[in-house]
Amino acid sequence: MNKEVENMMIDAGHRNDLGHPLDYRELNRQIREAICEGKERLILMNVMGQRYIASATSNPNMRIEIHGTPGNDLGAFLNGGTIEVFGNAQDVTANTMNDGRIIVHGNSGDITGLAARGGTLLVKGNSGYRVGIHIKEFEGVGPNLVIGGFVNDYLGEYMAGGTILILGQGVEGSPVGLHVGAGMHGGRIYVRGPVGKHQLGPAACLAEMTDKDLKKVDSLIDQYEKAFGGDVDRSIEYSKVIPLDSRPFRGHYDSTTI
Amino acid sequence: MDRDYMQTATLSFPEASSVFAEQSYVVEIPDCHKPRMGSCGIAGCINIDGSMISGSKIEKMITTMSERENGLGSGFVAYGLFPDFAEEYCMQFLFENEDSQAQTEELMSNWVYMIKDEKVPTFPQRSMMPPFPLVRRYFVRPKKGTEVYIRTGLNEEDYMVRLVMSINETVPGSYCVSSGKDMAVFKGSGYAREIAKFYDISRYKGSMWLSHSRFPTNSPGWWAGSHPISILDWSICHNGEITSYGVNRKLVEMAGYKCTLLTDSEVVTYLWDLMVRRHRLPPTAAAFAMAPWYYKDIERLPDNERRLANQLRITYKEAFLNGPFSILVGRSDPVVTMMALADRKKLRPLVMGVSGDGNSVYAASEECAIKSVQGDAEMWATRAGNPAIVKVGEGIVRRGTEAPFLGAI
Repeated sequence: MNKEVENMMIDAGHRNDLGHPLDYRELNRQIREAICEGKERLILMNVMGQRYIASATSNPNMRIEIHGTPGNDLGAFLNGGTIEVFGNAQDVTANTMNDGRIIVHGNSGDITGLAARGGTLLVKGNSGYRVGIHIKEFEGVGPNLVIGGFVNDYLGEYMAGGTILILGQGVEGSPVGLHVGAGMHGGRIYVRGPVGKHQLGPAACLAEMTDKDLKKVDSLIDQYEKAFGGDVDRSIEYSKVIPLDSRPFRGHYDSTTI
Repeated sequence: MDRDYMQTATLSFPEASSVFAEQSYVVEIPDCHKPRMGSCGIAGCINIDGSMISGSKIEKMITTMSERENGLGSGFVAYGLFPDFAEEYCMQFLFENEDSQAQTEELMSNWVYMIKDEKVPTFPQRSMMPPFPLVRRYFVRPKKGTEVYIRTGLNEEDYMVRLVMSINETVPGSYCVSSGKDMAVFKGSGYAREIAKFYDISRYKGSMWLSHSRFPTNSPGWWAGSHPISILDWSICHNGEITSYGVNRKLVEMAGYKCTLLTDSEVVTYLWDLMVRRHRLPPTAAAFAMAPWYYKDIERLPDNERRLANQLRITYKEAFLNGPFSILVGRSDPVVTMMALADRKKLRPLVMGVSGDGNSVYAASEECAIKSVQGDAEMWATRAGNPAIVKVGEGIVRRGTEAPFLGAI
């Protein structure tokens, strides 16, 4: 028998007596309270820049819908459940995400997916600078970041693991900026479109797509299409960026290290 | 900032106002509004058709980002404020006391004709830290043909800059916070909501507003050091740190500017004035000098642009602003213009938005500030070191995503 899922609505729209939007701590207190009460479906209306929304949520059945503009650090330390944003997300979305899904029906700002270590982030539109920096994986568990449009410089900087896919829809030329994968030593970046040598950061290099890569890309595009609808043209050639070495700075700082 | 500045900074307005002499200043601030981690917030709006925007709109934008401030400074600047005195320079002052006012007026009387002077209405808030400065504005015209004017050998604008610099440098407790035509700066030490109420920002209307809420990190929070920092018709709201301050300061001081406001951000204002007004660089070239590309990226530019880029880097190497920043720049000569620029690695946030009808353009640190006043705004982000330029009457001249030097004039 299907469990009846109760929707709970929280309106973050009113301003307090100081003229500020509802304080983020108050909003997050209400969210946590609802989660503790066993609510599994939350709808947040008129969100106006409140930070840290749904941070560290861990119930895998949790589903949080956000209407408006969530603030920085959306879903920080997310450990399970789904956050869906109907609008744009600001900076540092999915900061250190561990598990769960964040779906953004719009653009996301700079530093998206900072230091993520698991879970899935799907952004329909574009993202900014330093997407997926320092993401990592352990024993086969790592984050998947999918950006539908373009991203800017420093994509996957210091990347230690995990997967980034840039679809570059509606973009002429390369959908990524400069310094791609600067200092990376693990993981893989798939770019649907060209990546020039001059765009690569130190310690990154281009590689051929293998069948395993194509399978991975296919499964991520399936998720993207399921989340946002529409068809992604899969015939465009991919560029794959991987680290030159698992220890790019070997000997740089201490010549005695191995 | 070195220590000398930090020490002199504490003198701000020791005995100005006695408005609250009998009242208790200590207000219990609820826990959720105590100062906490943040960073500066900037916000600006401009109407392309030149129609007036109420101050309450910019107040709503900047207070939406209250997360970013810590109550140590905020300010607003409006353009198109005084249509009746559009040809006079409006000098707006913060005076520590009546004495500094008298000394300033005496000095000014040798330099300029005072067409009109008036007290700027202020409404001290109980939650703000006294003392409060006296705020006064003067509509002035340079005394051309007098001995002082001729002796300086300067043109009108430089003459006004010299006057502002000498007042800020020599008159104790007197700071000229804005000196442009048809514009004024309203700033002080406090939260954005407090400064907005202190000056009752909602009573003013302008075709462009810029605002700033401050989270000072390496310079003191005080009244004249708050942003926007203005000279002539230029005003700058700055979020970030200028780590190359020493070099930049040397350049502007050699050009006659005096750094008196105890903050790194004021060199940015003087650099814009120096490069664009005095040296007549197009704004995009000035922006490139402040946030240049790496040499290895310049190599990839087409011939002409590469030469220009290299020349700018070499000629204006002291104008290179090192460190993270995002700035909003306002000016009104020849038309009211808003420019938004982030550093070359985009280490500080900056987003742009345009209303559905295309008439109102916004820039802010966070999207929520724009969406709070324009729900249908279409958003975009400028690229690192790439200025977005919006002009009254002309529209969005540059979106900040183009190749360098496009849309330069």
